[in-house]
Amino acid sequence: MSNLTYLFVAFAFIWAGVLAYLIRLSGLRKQLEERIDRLQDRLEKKALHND
Amino acid sequence: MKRNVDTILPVLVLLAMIAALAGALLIAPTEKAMGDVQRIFYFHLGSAAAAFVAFTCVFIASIGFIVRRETVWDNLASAAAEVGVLFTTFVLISGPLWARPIWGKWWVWDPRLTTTLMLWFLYTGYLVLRQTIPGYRGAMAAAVFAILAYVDVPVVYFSVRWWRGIHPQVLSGGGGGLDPRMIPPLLVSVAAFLLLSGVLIRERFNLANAADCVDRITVELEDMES
Repeated sequence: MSNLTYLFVAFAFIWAGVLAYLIRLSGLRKQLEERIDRLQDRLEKKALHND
Repeated sequence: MKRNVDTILPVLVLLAMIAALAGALLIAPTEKAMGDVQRIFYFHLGSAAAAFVAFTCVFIASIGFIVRRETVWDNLASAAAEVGVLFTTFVLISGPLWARPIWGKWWVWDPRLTTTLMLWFLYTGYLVLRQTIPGYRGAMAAAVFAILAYVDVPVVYFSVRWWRGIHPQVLSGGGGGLDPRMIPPLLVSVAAFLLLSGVLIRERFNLANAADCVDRITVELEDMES
């Protein structure tokens, strides 16, 4: 492999790793947001029930 | 609006990454003495710029936390510290990859290299501190530590001027001898890294805020049930 190809592959791997980290963070945040929605529903129902 | 930004930002990052790769590897001219290995420089300097901006963000957010005592500032500081450590790691990996063929050694205890390694240890220490001591006390201790640790950022930047070392002075004056044709790809690369670090900090910050929100609602529910 030429130097340029080697560099291209190395850079692409690192960029791909960072993108994967970004997608993972985004996925985790979406999961938490869904959990917040569910918990808020439960909270509202509980509040209504207690009233 | 927020959903649009969530969709647009990763696409922008991807396009910026492709532009940075093309600029560094295909458009930038080959350096006469060093050859293709010099192209690591576009990645190295972009990572360093992103790390500096992230640590500046940690510094500002830590002051914000000490002044306002609100968790969002602590969340912002720890998000930026994590991203800063990630980019400093890239700097510490890409530097030796360039140094081995050029200097004949993976590592030398040059002032720039040594202070950068110190920077990595300081902010890794910050993250460990933040994880070890939970709650308000931990956040306050981490904020004070982050403000003190930030002193190393200008030291890293000016180290090539203050002390004699072998690290090239490209941007700090002293005639780095950068070919003018290398400047546009360099700027694209720095912009791509800054955009990437901004998006990563934003995601990490939103994640920490969402986790706080889950904890708050859970406590409220437990209070209601008991």
